[in-house]
Amino acid sequence: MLRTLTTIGILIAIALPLIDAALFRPGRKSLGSRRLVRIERLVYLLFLFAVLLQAISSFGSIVLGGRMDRWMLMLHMSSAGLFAVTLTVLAVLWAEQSSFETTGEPVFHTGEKVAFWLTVIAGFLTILSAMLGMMTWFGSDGQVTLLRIHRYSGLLLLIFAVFHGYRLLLGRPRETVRA
Amino acid sequence: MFGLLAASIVAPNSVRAQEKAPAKKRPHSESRTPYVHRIQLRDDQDNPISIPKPDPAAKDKAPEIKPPSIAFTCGKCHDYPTISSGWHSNAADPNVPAGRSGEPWILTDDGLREDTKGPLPSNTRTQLPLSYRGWDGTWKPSEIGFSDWDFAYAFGRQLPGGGILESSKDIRFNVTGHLQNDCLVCHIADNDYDGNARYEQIVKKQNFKWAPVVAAGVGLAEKSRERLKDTWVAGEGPKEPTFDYDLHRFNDEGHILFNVTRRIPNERCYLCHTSLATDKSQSGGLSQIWRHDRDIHLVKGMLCVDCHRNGLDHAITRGYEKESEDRKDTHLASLTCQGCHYGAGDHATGSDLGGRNAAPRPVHKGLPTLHFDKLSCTACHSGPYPGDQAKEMLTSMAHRLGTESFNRTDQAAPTLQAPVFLRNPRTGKITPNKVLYPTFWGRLNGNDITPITPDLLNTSAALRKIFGPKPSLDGQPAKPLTEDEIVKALEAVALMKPVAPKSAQATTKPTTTTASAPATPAWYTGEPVFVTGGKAYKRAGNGKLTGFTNKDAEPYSWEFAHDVRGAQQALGARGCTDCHSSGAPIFDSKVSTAALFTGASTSIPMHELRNEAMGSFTAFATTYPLRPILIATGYTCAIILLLVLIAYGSRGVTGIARRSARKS
Repeated sequence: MLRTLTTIGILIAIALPLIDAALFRPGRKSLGSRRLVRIERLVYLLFLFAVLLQAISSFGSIVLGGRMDRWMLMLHMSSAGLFAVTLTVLAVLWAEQSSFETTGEPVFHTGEKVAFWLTVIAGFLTILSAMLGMMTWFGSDGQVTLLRIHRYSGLLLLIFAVFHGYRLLLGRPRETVRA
Repeated sequence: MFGLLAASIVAPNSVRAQEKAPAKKRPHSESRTPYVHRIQLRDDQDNPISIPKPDPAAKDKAPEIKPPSIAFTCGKCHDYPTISSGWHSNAADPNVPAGRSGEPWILTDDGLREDTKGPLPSNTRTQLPLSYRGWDGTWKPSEIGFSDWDFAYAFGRQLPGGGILESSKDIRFNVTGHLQNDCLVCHIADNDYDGNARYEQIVKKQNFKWAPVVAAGVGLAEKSRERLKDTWVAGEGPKEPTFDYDLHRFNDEGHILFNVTRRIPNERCYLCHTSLATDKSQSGGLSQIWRHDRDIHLVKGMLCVDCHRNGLDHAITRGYEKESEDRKDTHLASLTCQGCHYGAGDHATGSDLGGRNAAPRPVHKGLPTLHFDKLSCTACHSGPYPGDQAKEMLTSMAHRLGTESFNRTDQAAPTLQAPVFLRNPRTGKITPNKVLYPTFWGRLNGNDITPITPDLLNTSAALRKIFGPKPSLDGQPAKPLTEDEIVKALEAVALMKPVAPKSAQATTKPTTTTASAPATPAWYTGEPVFVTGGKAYKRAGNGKLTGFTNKDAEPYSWEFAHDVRGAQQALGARGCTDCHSSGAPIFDSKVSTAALFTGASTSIPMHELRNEAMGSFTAFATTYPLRPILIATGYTCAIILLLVLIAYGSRGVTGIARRSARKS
């Protein structure tokens, strides 16, 4: 069940950018000339890197029929801090620009904003469920629930983050690619 | 002719008689109230035995009464053949699946019949795991030329009998009688069953036939059959030793009261299943029982048989994780640790509602569920609390606990160690095991080592001289041999030749094995080897030994589940670092190879026994101190993200509300 859902999730993560690239990207308009500052680009790339490590160590193991333990668990735990910090920094940096109520020159397309907020929500659930699971507050039943929340919010996070990354890095009209 | 006739009558008579009447109507009470067993005894021809009233006038002359048979006495109302198909009796039945490996019978120098006219037995140091079940790492008695009678003699003290011990054609059984399935050894409720008397009847007097009834206090058999020759036939030559009833145990009707119960007291099980860690000894003395806590379930008032249940077939539930699959009975899934404490998930029986008898549902606060896939319940909850080194253990089966000894020491051979954390190949989980490193002399043919039994080694005068006499005190530790002694012994083993057996001796070997046995037994051919401490040693020339690994030299291990420690004493109760730290017992506790070759003993960490690379575990344990930092970072990030979501979420909601208000 988990393996099937994970596989479906990964396929969706791959399919969404492809669909967008085929159907919507050609008609997308440029947003002007504002560029992301270097620190934003660095944090964002680190965030994508952390998401990649997290996904490989967890969903990669599951899809291959194994489970996340030993070195994969180490990799997952080691990149967890980087993921949490970079997501939080991005949330603080881009929250205003990703707001639908923003005034002034738009930095992000609506699709990017939607993907951003979904990524933040899924990321928040992923981090919180992991942290709560590390405390001695929950018994086995609670642990099982937290693990499920962690897994499925993590899977959604992967879908949203991949889509967001695609939209930001590859999905914009050619003349306005900036990140 | 007479002998053959006698053999056919005496031996499996009880079984055959029962089998003839499968449709026999048996009375039942069908109540949970135990039926009062004030009963008339029956003899081995299934005839009721009349017991005369005690006659004070005939002091010295006991009335001649036929001796009783447990099989026929109990078999009058209970289906004896079906009962005898249970685990305690069916080990030699080739149609019974071997099941999960369990505690073997360990052959040592103590288990041999001493020839009162022959030379004194020597100290061969043999510690050889035997089992009729053919578990990997054990030898079937027939594979080493150990007859059924030898087996009954060595281990009948703590085997209930029945099965091969009741049906074997070994001729010595004609002298001693068979070991019938002894219902009373388990079912006597009031501690009146004397396990030590059973041991003495079997080992010291060879009165196999009457061991159960003497132990149950029905009477006495003071004379021994030890000196009767294998060719002895009842009614010819020396008179058969008598069984003298204790007439005071019978009422006026000649009935005797057996206080038997279906709910067997734990103390009956302990006669054969006591297991003691020797880490609680006092001033080097024997392990102090009062210092040990008992199994938490027993402390709370449960009985062994509350979980280890059985029907008439006496296929007692063993309670291991895959037993329900092995026996194709889903009901058994609820009689495991998990089944009882969590429920077995069967909607039809209601076991999905929770465990049995309101067994407390474990909370396991803060324990990631990953651990349930990696560890059995018993890994954290069972056996002596693990330390830097596995503890030496004494068990009833291996060390004769439950029978009298003035000399038994904590280090008594054979050397058993626990807890040893090994991975169960079926479940992939780490489980606690007891481990025996076998020690024996053998012959290497190809890659197979065939052990040589101590009684065969004792036939060599040269070996007896090298080994020295068996210690006069029982229950002593085995003394290692030097390289020089081992080389000399191997040379003496090489010179051993098959001796044409005397006709009587030859027939003591099981007829089942002689048919397929090679012309020259394997223990007379091939390179002599000494197996100890997980290695085999052979002569390298120049008086030296060369050691090598061999599958037959590997340690034998079996999982255990008791005594269960409660949650407060479980591994991990003190936190993650019980296991995720440097030197944690589950990975780094050491097991001695207990080699009986001077200087060859080593200590092996448990992860090595499991062939596990420790890189990731060490890295995980090393980074454990950073965990608080990760947690602090995680919570800080989660709080900031929550604030951002609240701030912009509320702003978004307000904006939507404003927009919809403007439109309206």
